[in-house]
Amino acid sequence: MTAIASPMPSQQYRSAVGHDLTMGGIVKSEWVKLRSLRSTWWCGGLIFALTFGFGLLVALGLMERRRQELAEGLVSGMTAPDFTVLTANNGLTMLGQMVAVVFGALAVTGEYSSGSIRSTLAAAPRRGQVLVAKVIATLVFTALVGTVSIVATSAAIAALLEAAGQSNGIGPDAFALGAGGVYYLVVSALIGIGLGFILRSGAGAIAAGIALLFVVPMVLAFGSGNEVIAYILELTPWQASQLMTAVAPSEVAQIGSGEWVLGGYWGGAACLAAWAAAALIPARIIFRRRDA
Amino acid sequence: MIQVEGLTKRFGHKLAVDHLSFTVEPGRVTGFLGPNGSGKSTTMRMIMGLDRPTAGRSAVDGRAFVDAKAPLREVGALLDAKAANPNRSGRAHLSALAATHGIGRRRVDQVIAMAGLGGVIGKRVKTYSLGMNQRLGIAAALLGDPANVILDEPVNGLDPEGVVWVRQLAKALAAEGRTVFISSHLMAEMALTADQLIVIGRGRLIAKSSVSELLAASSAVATRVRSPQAGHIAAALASRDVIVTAEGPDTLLVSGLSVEAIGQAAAQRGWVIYELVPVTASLEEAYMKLTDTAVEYRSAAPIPQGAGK
Repeated sequence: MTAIASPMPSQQYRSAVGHDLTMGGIVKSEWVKLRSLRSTWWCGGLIFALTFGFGLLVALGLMERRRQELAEGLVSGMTAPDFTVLTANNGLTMLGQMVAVVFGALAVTGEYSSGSIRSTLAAAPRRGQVLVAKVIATLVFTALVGTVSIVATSAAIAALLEAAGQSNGIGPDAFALGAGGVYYLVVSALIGIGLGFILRSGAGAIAAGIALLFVVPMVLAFGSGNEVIAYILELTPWQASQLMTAVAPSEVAQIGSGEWVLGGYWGGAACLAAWAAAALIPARIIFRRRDA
Repeated sequence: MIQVEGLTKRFGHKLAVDHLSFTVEPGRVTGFLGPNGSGKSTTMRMIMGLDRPTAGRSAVDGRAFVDAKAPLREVGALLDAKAANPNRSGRAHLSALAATHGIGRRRVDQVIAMAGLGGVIGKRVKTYSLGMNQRLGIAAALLGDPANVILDEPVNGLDPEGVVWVRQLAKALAAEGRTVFISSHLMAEMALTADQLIVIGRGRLIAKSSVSELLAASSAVATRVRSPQAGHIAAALASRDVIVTAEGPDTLLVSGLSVEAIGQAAAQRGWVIYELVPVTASLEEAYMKLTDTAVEYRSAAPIPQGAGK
C-alpha cells in the first residue's frame, strides 16, 4: 500500500490586508471606540459645563463677599494670589470626579454588557495590552477635557476679576494647581476603569467609585476628631487631591509640610498614583484570569 | 487549521466540554454539530482564548490563538450576534476593530458591501434587527481576510436569502484554501453547507466523519412492502441475510434485499403489492440517533396539534 498525501492545500492561506497587531493599533482602536460613543461626548461636555458653571458661581460669590469685606475695611485686597485657578478647580475636582469615575467605569462595563468585549479580544487577545490601551485612551481623553475645562474657566474668572478692577488672580502656582486638578480628574477615571474590570457591572462599579471618592471621605470626616481616623482620612483620594488642587505649593512652603501626612503637592500626587494602581493592578489580575 | 487536544471545561459541577480532540482542516467547510447546550460555543470560546480550558489545549495554525502575531488576519470569528456596542454605529464598530491591525477604510467598505449592510452601517447598532446584527458579526469576522473562519450558529436570525448567502460564503471561503469551522444545531443546514462533520453531545465527541459517511453509517436502508399477503411474503423472503419485520397487519419492512429484487420476486410469484417503497433514514434521523443519549434538554411531551385554536 502506498501512502497517500492528505488532500491539503499546498500552501497556507495568507491574509492580504493589514499588518501585525501592534500596541499603537490597540490604543488607536480604543480611541475610536471612545470617540464613537455619544456618552463620551456627554461626559466630556458635562465635565466642562460643571467646571465652568461651578467655577464661575463660586468666583462670583467670593468676589461679592470680598467686595463687602473691602467696603467694611476688613481686608485690603485679594488674599490668595492664586484665587483664579483655586476657584476654577472646585467644579473640576468636586463635580468632575463623579463624571470621570462614571466615564472610566462605563468604558469597561459597557464592553461586558454589550458583549463587545468578545470582538475586542478577538482582535487583541492579550488582555494586558487591552487594559493598558484602555487606560491610555481614557487618560488622554480626560486630560484633554480637564485641560480645556480648567483653562476656559480660569480665563473666564480672570476676565471677571479684571472687569471688577482687580488683578487677574493668576499667581505663581497657577500651572501646578491646574495640573493637579487635571491629574485628579484622570486618576478618578482610572479608578473607574479598575473598578469596571473588577466588578464588570456598570451599576456596581459606579456605586463603588462614588463611595470611594465621595462617601468615604465624607463619613470619615465625622470621625476626624480621632487621630487614626484623621490619618486615614488624609490618605483618601479626595483629601490627597486637595494637596494638589486646593493648597498652593508656595503656601505649603510657608507653613511647612509637617501639617500634612503626605507632605504637600508631590505627596498628594504619589498617594493618588497609588490609588490608581490599587484599582488597576487587581483589575489586571482579574481580567487575565476570568473568562470573558 | 484548527487543532483541539483533550479540551475540557468545567463550570462548577457541570462538565461542559469533556476531553474533546479534533482537527479542522483547511480547504473545506467543517460543521460542528450538536444539540443546544452540548458545548459547541464553549469549545469555540476556548479556541478564541475567551474561556480558559480546565484541561487540554487548542491551536490555530500551530499555536495558541492568544499568541497570534496578527489575530484578526489569522482567525475571524463570529461568536455571538451581540458582540457590538448598541450605542455605536456599525461602521465605528468595524473601524475600531480595523484600527488594531492597520486595516484600511477600503477593506472596511469591502466587508460592509459584502455583508449587504450599506444602508444601515451609519446607524447605531441598537436599531439593527437580529439578522443585521448577524451580518455585522460576519463582516467583522472577515475584516482581516483571515486564514481561519469560526462561525457560531451564523444562520440564526437570518432570512432565507441570508441563509443561502452564508452557505455560499462558507463554501467560497473554503475553496480559497481557508479553514472554515461552523457550528449549528441544525443537521439539515449542515448537510447543505459542510463537507466534514464533527458531532458532539454533552461535551463529548460523538462522530467525526464526512457528511456522506455519516449518512451511510447510520441509515438502515430498507423497503416497505404493503400487501394483503404480508404473512406469506414474510415467510418467503426471510433468510439469513434478509430481515423482515412486521410494521402492521399488512405492512412489512424488509432489509437486506433491494427494491428491485423484491419487485422481481413479487412478479414471479404473483403477489399482490399495494405499496413498495424504499426507506432511507434521513440525515436528521441519523443525527437524532447519534445524539440520542446525549441530549441535555428534551421537550417533555409534544404539544397536540391544533391545541389552543
